Amino acid sequence: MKYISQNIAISKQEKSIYKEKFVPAGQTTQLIVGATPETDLKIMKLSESLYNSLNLKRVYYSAYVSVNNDENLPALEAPPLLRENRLYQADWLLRFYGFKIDDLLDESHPNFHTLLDPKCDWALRHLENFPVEINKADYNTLLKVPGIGVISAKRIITARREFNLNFENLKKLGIVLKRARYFITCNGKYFDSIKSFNQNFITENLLFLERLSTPQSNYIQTSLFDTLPKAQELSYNFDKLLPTKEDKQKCLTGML
Amino acid sequence: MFNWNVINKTYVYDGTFEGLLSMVFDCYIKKVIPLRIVSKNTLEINFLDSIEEIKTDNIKAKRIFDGMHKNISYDTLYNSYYAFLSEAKEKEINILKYILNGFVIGPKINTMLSLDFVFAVCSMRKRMLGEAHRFKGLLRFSEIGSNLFYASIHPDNNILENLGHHFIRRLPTQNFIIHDKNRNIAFLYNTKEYKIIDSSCIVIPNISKGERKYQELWTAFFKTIAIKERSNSRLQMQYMPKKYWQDLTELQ
Repeated sequence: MKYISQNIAISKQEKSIYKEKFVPAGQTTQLIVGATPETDLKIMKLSESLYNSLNLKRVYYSAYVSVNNDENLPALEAPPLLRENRLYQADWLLRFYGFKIDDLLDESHPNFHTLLDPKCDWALRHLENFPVEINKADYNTLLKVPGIGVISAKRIITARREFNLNFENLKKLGIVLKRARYFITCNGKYFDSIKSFNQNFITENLLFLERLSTPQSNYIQTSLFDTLPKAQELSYNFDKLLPTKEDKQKCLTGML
Repeated sequence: MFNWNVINKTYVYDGTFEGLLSMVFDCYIKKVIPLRIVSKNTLEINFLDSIEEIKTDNIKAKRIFDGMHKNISYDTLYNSYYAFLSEAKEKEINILKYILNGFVIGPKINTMLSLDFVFAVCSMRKRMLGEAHRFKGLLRFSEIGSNLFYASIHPDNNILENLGHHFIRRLPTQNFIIHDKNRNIAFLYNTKEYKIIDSSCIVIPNISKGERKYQELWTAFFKTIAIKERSNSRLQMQYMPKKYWQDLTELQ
């Protein structure tokens, strides 16, 4: 790998002399995830160093799928596809969003959050950088807002040259406010009262959105015939902090 | 900037880009914007509307066409042409407003995305080009004669011209037909020149014997290459939506 990366660098310098490039597509590698007990931090550290020192084009992550059954091989119920997804999200943050892996993970939480994506998780732990003023923030700051990507950030920058943007305009521009609205202000205004800009409120809302969009496996339809102790047992399984779908219905019908 | 009078009239044009540009010319001279614009093919007579037919005039269209890339920008021209090829509600009125205001504002119009008609035109262009890009991968040619290939598609937007030019560059030595079944038009290419024709009169012969064999091989490949543990039908449907499956060999 080192040989290839050195020669790519040399051929870039000699571009004017020789027409043919050395390894024109660059080099990539693939990491199999889930077979060994490494943490996400260790995996991402490795890929960060591959990007920085060896100038790799891409690092691919692939969830371990057991093909043979042998007692020496690790036994997994299902390939860790969610983990693979989180690693790719973090990989993009490294390459296009100007993040470093030390921002995203550290020794105290070495693995990515299962419910929140890495950028959201980072933003919630660094609320001192937010809320971001959409009409003034520079490109790199806009990129750090959860829910705003490269395309949205560029679009905001071209659009705000002519007009001051408010939440309506952002919606019209096709910017997804599902997560972004908790972290931005438009002309100094927050979407809700500014008092609600705190970690608990945002976390609860984001997790609630996540709950709505993913089918719940531990969601059980309770019936009239459930005995009381069983119902109590159930309630321990739910994280009490998070509002459930039933809570929302109760809210709507005025029972809470 | 917006000193155009909106008049309570419905303009009818012949459904071509030249027709639309001649209408832009007339509106620019009269400084008016009609309430609705309808193509002749989709016209439904309504006694509440006062209808005015705009005649297509190639000289007027040419003047607007040249004026656009001279006085506004090439991007504006491309945006309005691609938006015209897309299928959207009120696309004509949005394109009209976009061009008229473009002549007043100049090349800056392309960055004024918070004006709703500018954003509408940009997103129409994006949708049309996006679909064309998708079909560059989702088109399945099948052999219907010696060195003659046929592919049918059911796209939402009029992507035939864009798609045809792509495949002329990719397969310059082959004769091919791309058939848009939603619009009943076909793109013909005979290794020298191309033509877009109304396809209601074409009879398509059956596929050749060798072709059937290759279709079976391709289907078998598609089935065996898939990893069962990693199947993700939601993601698959994002890349190849179900509405296109009817023309895909491997999914029939």
